[in-house]
Amino acid sequence: MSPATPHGSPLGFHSYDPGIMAGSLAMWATAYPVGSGKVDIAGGSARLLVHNVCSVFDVFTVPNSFDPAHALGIFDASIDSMEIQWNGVTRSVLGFSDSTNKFRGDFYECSAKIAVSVTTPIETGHGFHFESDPATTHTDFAQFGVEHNGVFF
Amino acid sequence: MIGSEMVPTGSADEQEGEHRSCEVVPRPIPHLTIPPGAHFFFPGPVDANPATSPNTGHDPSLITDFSGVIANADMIFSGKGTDLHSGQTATYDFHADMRFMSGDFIGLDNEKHKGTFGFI
Repeated sequence: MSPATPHGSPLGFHSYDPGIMAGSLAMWATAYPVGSGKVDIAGGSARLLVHNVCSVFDVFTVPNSFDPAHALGIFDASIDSMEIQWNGVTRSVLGFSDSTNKFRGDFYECSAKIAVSVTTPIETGHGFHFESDPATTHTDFAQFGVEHNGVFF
Repeated sequence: MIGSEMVPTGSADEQEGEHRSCEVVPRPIPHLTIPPGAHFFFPGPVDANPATSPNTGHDPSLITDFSGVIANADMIFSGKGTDLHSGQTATYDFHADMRFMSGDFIGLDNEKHKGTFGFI
């Protein structure tokens, strides 16, 4: 989750991600509570709802996230709440199978809308709070589906 | 572990049990996108042409040895940002690639688990 405005804003740069998952090499990944993400194939929708995601950092910019030295700094942050809704299927890719990348499944391209609240605590010296307006969401690409990969391919 | 007031309690088995409760981590998908040099594809159609779109589309999951449901969304959105020091507020824009993967996975312990993972 990084600034969309190339030159930032009067409030400076803020960019949020979980870093590299400890011991896994999975990038910008974090565990969510079971049941927080749901897909309703028959209903043509999906939903993610999480609260108090404390495993994220404010890294200010994406390049700074990839900089092992984090020259711009790195500070604790939290996603206070986040709800993403997927619906309005525009294209279905059913029974898809990719033997090169070893994954298969049914995928439904659609639109998404996000409501998110995120905070960089004031104690970090970079205190910042953001509340999104879900109505402003512009979807570049979104999809949900059922997938099997790796040994489940 | 920082702090001098921690006193070991319980048997060795109990302590081992605590160790076993450590979070199980998944394996990343094999594909490496360079740059930035990480195991993921940029968001796009699963049936993208690998010749013209080698790093965009394809597998939306971040983790391999996975069977379940996924969702991803590449979005631009606005809202109200507040500088907590000055109280100054302004419109703030974010670009986010958000995903979740929920289902069965084989962890680094080679055991099958259920879990939900997010990409932020």
